[in-house]
Amino acid sequence: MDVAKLKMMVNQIDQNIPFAGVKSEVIATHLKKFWTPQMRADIFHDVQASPESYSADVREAVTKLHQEANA
Amino acid sequence: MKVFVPGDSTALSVGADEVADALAKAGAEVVRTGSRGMFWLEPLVEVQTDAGRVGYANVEPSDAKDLLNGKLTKKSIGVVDEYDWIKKQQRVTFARVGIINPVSVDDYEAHGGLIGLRKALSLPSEQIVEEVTESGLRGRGGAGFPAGIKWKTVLGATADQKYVCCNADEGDSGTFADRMLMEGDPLTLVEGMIIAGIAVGATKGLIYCRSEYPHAIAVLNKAIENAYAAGVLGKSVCGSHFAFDLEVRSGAGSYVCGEETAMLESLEGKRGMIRPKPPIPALSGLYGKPTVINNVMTLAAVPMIMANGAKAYQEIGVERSRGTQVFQLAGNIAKGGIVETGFGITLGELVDGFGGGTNSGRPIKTVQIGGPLGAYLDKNSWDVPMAYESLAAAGGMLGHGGVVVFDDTVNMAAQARFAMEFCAEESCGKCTPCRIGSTRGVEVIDKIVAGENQAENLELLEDLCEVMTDGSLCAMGGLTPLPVRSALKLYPADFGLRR
Amino acid sequence: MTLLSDPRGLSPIRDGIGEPDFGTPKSTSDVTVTLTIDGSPVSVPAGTSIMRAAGESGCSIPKLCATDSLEPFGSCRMCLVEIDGRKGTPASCTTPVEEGMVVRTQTAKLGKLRRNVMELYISDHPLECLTCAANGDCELQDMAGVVGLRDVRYGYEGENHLGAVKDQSNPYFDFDSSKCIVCNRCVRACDQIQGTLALTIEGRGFNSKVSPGGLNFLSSECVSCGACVQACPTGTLEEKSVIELGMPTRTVQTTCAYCGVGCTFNAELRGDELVRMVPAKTGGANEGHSCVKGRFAFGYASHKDRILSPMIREKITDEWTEVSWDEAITYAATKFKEIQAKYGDNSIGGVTSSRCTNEEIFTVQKMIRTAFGNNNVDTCARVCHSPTGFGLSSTFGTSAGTQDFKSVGKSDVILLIGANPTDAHPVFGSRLKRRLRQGAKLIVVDPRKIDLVESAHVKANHHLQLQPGTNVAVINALAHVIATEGLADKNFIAERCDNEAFDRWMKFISLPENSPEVVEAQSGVPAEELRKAARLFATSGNGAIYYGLGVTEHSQGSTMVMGMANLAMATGNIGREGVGVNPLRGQNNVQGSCDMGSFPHELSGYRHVSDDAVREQFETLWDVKLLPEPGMRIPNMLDNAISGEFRGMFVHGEDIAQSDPNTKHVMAALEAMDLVVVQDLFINETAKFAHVFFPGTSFLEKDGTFTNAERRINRVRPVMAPKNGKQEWQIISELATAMGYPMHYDNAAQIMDEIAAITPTFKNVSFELLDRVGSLQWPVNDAAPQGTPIMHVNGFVRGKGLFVETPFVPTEERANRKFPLLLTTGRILSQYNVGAQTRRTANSTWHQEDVLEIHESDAQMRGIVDGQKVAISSRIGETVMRAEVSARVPAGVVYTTFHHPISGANVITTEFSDWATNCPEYKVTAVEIRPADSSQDATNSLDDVLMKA
Repeated sequence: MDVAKLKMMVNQIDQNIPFAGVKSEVIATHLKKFWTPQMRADIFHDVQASPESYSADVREAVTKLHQEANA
Repeated sequence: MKVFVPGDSTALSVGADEVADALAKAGAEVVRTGSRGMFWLEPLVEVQTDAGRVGYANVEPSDAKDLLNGKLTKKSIGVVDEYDWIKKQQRVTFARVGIINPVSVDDYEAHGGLIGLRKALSLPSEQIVEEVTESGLRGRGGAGFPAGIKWKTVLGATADQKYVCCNADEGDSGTFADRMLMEGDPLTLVEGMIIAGIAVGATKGLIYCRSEYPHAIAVLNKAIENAYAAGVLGKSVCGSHFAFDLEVRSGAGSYVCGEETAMLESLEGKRGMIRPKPPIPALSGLYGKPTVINNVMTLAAVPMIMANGAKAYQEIGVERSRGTQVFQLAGNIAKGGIVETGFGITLGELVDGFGGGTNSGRPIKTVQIGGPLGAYLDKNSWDVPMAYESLAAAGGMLGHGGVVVFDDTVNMAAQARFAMEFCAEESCGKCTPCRIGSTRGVEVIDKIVAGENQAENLELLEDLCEVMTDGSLCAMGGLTPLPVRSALKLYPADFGLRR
Repeated sequence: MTLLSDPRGLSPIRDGIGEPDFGTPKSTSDVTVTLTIDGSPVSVPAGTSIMRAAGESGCSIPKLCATDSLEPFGSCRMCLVEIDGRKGTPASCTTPVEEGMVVRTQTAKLGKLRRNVMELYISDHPLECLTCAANGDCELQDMAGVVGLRDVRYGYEGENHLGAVKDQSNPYFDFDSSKCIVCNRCVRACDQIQGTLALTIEGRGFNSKVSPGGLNFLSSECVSCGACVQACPTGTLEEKSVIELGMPTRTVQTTCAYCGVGCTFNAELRGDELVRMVPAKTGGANEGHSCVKGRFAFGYASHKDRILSPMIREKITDEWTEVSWDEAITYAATKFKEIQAKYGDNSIGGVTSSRCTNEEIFTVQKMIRTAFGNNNVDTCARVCHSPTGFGLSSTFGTSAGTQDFKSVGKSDVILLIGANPTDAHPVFGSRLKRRLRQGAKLIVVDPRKIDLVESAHVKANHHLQLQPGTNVAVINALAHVIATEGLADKNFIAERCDNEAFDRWMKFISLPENSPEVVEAQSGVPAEELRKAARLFATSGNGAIYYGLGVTEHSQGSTMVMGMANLAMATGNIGREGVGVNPLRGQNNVQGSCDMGSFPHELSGYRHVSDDAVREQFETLWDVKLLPEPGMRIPNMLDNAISGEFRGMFVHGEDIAQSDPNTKHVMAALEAMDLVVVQDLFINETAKFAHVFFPGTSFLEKDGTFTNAERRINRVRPVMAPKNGKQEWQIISELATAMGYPMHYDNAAQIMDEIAAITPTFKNVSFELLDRVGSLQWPVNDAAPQGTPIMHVNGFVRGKGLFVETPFVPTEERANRKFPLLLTTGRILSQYNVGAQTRRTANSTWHQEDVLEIHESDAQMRGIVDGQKVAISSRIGETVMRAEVSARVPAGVVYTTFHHPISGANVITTEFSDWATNCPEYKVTAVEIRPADSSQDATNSLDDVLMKA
């Protein structure tokens, strides 16, 4: 998967997603609902590699999903 | 010196403008008026005198100086109001025509105008409608439907907008009363329409005038403009809380647009075609809104009814035909023009009495009353009183009150053919009996006249007349058989048939 | 001739081949009136005409100008009756019934009148019944018989119209004026049903003549909807196919396969040959109306380009080899299994088609989830209405529009956003126009001046001509006005909506950043216009929102759908007739493909794959383990194909190489795969990259159901046997079986039974019920056994309506110095989508090529004149089209359609997409235009890409 595209997608979600409550949780739910496990794994690796490209909410969401998947 | 010169189309056609110019140049104060409706006297110039307005008949521009100097005695007819032809009439609707300046609100008011309107403004709607109902006023367009009942229907309808439409598409041959009123006293019509509006709750009026009346349209527009300026029309009618707007719309040369539903279509900008009834226009008329549709003569009678009371009007006339009728004498007639009189005058009195026989001097052969779709009558009908019911009983129809006279040179088969031809020319083309039947009618009459299978073709013509009468959507196709059948019945010889 | 059985069990009065014609429209009054007709008591609703009352009671009155799809006209005078106590012989079509009325329809007098009228008709009608194309389907002929005409005494030498010249200019029907009886039915149909007002009567009286205005039908404003042909009682307006082939001999009722309106048609055939498609009055969506596509453009189904044999090839550079079905299926199955063995279960997937039936779609997604063993299934709805599902389910709880089409007839103000119904959903467009002519208000939100902004007897009250990409700003501004001017429906919100969410939304929407004054700068729409439009919408009574792809195909498509839902809730416009939020779906079965579980994350009925209980039901029914995680979407599949992880794809009836954005990228992905299996009617652009080609069935051969934009499940009945030898669900089942998952159905009805068994919203749906009632709008369950025309009536499906904050986030795709213009796309009436069907019909008469609409100032600046070839370049690619200098687009915006592959509109569209659903942002592409150097460019654009790909 083209990580650049995933990055664009997640940042677009970050910018647009409506939320009431904790934003990172809303992002995590969205990714869990619509993204394949592979996409979530790929984005986690990129978040690890270049955290500066992502907002804190995205980082938190992606990391949380990773932890859940590997729990 | 103050002189009155008609600006009416009839007078203009015989040089009234030139006469007016000449009089003005000669130093007279010229007032343009409507016409008194004595066509054989036009241009009829009137001079204000202490005794009244003295008339001079058939004045030419070269007569101007003599007239002003009192030397034109040979053309004088004396005081016009005393002139026998006028004096014998009962002018109610036409009371001001030929007398006042048609577009002057002041002149109008000075001659009794706006009294009816002011009275109406003081009455509840229901009472105005009641007054009109009691007067016995019936639609002067031809159908003779009681105006008060129509108004009551519109009053009873609920809608965000209602309209008053005046049918001024005066298309019948030999008729000109609407035109003369619009040219000679348009404010009477304006006042009548405002009263109708107040009575039924309509705030918008439209006058649908045929395009062949450019002078009438111009005079109407000027009169309406002045009425707005005087506060008679507009947001506050004569200072009241009633609003009424009025405008003139021009037709486009279609006879059938004189039929009320076709007129509505035309007013809406559509092709002038008949609408089926129901719904009646009183409930679903212009743009689907409740609409009063009345003829010029009907609406113009209203101010007088309101001013003088229903009773005064109701007392004129006979039986169920109340008030006055404005007859129009035309065709081959010695003294053509306007005869306003109570219903009940006989046909003979009209044609021989007022009309003075034919213009050609030959014997009268037939008279057609009620336009091109009216029946032909002969001398056997001379005693028939001119009223809705009695004329119908005699096989005729009053229509818009036009009386057209023919002398003994007329061929009635040609006239019957003309009726079908006229229908073919003017049919809107909607319903089959009128659309195809009229054309076939011409063909069948031609065959009869040519002597082709006369018996079969007479039967076919009768069947055609039956299907047109009973099957047509409106009076256009429905009445066309009337002149055809009457001509055939009264004058079979003209068709090459033995009586 | 087969007559459809009349549910009322009455003898039908014939209208064309199929349906009874009661002469005047049905009255909707609740009051019943009883009268006597020919001695028998008859009870009908008040407002019913005598003609209809008589017809419904089984005694038909002769008629010619009356037909029950049109308001009565009263011109033919065949239907005269006698009424006790009334003078004369009134027309029964224009006379409403009254209590106690005594009517006689058959008397000697009436008989004579009718015969005499007929005699007049025939005196001006050609006597060539035996050789007339309408012989046997002519009301004039029928009525002449009914009234007993024996002689035309006028002869035939009189004045007549027998020499009138035929107008054969329209590719689908002829106009033979000599046969015209001037009943005005065609003119009235054009006015009342279609609303184009192209026809008129020229001349008057005997010279009255139907005229299309101008030279002929083709050059007139006629849109070839067929309403006039349908309405004509004689052979005056006649389908060319009937003239050529003769009268049809049997009828099959089915559903159109073009747009999401889903019109019901009676397919009329001679043997196996389809003669004509006649819109059915019983059709729930169309009620007897049609458009040029559904009515006439069915010729593609028997076009010579259709592939009827399965084909395979090793490499895409090889020639195709025709093989047997068994061989093709085995070949595909083996290859798919090989790929999975080598690259893992996740390395293959498929795409379902919104052009296919629910039953076919259901089997494809089932095959993928079972035989493929993954959730890598997506649908072409991804590229059109995926944001609708996301947005409406988030706010209302259902991934579908809220109303039936009929509802618009009760709307007082209509907010039309990013949709062009008169071109793209013509039959709905006609309904809408009818309502507008009745006085409903219209607000159009569109960068382009669509026809509805101003056309015959229709004028929008407001045209909010926004810059492409600023929908959300505009909807927020409208909501801002409603919120801050106290125009919100407080009772509705308090009772029906989540109040906490509403309070949050109120705070958000009231922010100055959402005010019309700020939005004016972003969108280019004057603040005052925004304010006036918002007030009009909030205060005019029933407010309805209709929208199209101009809403969804944006980076904020999903946000915009939620923004519209917010507006509808804020104004209390949900849950009754005349209101609602309604997507106009592009393809015939977009709704169905979404319902059937085509998305990678959802099983049928919009249930997430992670829901254990739901999955368990499927696992039990299907006897297979299902994955609890979402699979790949189309763009993911394509991206992964390029990176080598995704290697095999089953493409069901969709041309992704032409319809998906960034053609070059799509083609590279297709080329990278080891196996592409395409099922289609034609060798489309995608098939050029395929290794296996399964010939598909046209809608005329399919057996199943389509679900239209109003959730209406319509039956698609096979009009003829499958030309390819097999139903598509059968092919899919065999492929699944060959891959090791046994799948078998005896017929399509069994598939629907399975769908109903596992999908709560379809619980009571069956072919048997559909055949009985005609159509059903889901949910169809025990609570709503007859279906649900209007949703959320007594409460939202999700419980309380949810207001969602919708901040405007401008797209990354912006005009800049290099690409200063914004390109947006749309459709034209005569063509459909990528044109695979319509380009293979005479519809191309009207639209031979896609053109680029450009504003005069933009054209002048670039030295471009009308009709000139221009090159259109984006940062993605370049294509060439003919320019049309047009006042429809504002300066700075250019527009085109994408019906012709040669135009390659998607060569230039970008990878940007909706943030939530990845629906591509087709509606905004920054471009530059310059005059094309040579005419060569025009034909090269797509081929270049193909070669380079």
